[in-house]
Amino acid sequence: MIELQNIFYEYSKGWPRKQHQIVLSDISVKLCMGKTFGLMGHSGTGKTTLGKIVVGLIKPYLGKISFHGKDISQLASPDWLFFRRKVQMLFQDPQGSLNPKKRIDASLRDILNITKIPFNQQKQAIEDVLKTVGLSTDFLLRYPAQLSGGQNQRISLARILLLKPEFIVLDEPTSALDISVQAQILFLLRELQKNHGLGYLFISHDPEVIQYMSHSIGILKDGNLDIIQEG
Amino acid sequence: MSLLTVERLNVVFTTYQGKVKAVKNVSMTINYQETLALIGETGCGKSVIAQSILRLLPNNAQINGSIIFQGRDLLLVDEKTMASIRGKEIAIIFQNPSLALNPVYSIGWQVGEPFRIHQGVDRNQSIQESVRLLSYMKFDKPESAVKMYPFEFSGGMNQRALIASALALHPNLIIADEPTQGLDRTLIKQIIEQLDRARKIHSSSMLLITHDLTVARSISDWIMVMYAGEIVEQVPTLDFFQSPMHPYSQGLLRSLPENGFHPIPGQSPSMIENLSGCQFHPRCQWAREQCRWEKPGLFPINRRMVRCFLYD
Repeated sequence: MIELQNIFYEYSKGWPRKQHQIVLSDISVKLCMGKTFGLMGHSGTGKTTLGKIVVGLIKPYLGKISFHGKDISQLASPDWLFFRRKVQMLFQDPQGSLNPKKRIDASLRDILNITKIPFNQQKQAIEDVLKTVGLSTDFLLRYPAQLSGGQNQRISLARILLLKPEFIVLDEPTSALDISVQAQILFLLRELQKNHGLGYLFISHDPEVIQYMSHSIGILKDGNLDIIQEG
Repeated sequence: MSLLTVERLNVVFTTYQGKVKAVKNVSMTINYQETLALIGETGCGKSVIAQSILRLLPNNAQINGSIIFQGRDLLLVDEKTMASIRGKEIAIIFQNPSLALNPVYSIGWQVGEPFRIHQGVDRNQSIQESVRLLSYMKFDKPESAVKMYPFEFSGGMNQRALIASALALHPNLIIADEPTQGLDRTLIKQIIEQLDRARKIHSSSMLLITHDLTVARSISDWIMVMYAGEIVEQVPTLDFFQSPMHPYSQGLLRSLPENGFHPIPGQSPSMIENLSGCQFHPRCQWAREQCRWEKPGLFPINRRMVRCFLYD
């Protein structure tokens, strides 16, 4: 379980005199494994910022985040790496989250090299993960630009799944996709949750998508989080 | 009466990987004061049709067929005539407002551009026209908005500025290429309403390219469904939502939120490889042996056309 306690975050902008804008104020929420927490809100309300705080990409100004009961700011290097592997983020723009100069095969092998999977087991691991996300091995020699948005999003998801995560922050994973491809990705995410017990923080501004995906729902407005459905 | 008639349009791109057949034998008609919505998955060739109409395709594109606009074949007219048509008689609203606007010119300068190019008015007068257009698009303070730059506006405001610019000279045909992509739900409704209101006032026709079925439903008269570069169904909007006939159209409607997000299995075919028979057969639950080898034609059924052997 990931627990956020009294999270504050502010952006400072402007020059020479900086102005501080509070984006998140006193946010406390529990994110459970195997469940989806739907996060809604208008553009610019800090949904993505909260997502980045959950995966540890940015540090909150104040507050505590605990992963399985341990405060992540106190984690020593190996535990921190473990946390970063187990808590992943899927971004909105599928094309932008893959290296355009690397073939799909190389993008996937990067992950396996980082996790020190021996070379002779990599092929099998890639075949397995592509099967899970519903793609054939024909895609391996292509570049991201030669794939559609939905296919790129599946590859990004495959990269995440190679790390065997426990929790994924999904930052508007379908807002750049067509309606039919959106349905495919949502279906796939639900199947993965069922089979692997993944927890999701699902960020979207589409109420219908949130309703379909989430067990509990929160709305972020003026820096505050209102939980409107408990699951 | 028809304003634009496209006949047997074929567009092939030559790339280092092979020939990409982006548009295959597309024929369509847009009548005066009507809106035709072109729907389909990303990469099925919708935007290529729009760019062929305005002859904005890159050099590696080969175009065949004819595009008759008010008695002239746009594929045969010279570049000078084409330049006088673009913006004045046919206007386009591009899909990414932040990229379609030039970041180093002010909004007023860019919205007023059609007046300077086609009517030869001076700078001050074109800015005044921009103020009028922006107030018409319900900008709060149009006088100060014209002095601002695209990065100072949100995506929705940029999109409204682009629409204002496209409608400036009351074109006969507006091509709206995904005008609502990447915008919030509330903004989408607002922008679509403004676009439709402006179209009706100027009695223009519109070719709306979208993958958002709710947008297509709210303003179009006709719907044309494209799949892998081909038209698979052409149908009046009401009939489409009541009784879609092509298996792909049915699949699209099943994937809508109100119908429970049921996905269409499989992936769209590559536009480079030649898939024999019906392009949709690998994903179709009704596919039979004939669909694998024989290409279905467009079969007329009442007011609609469907490319499927089920209706032969």
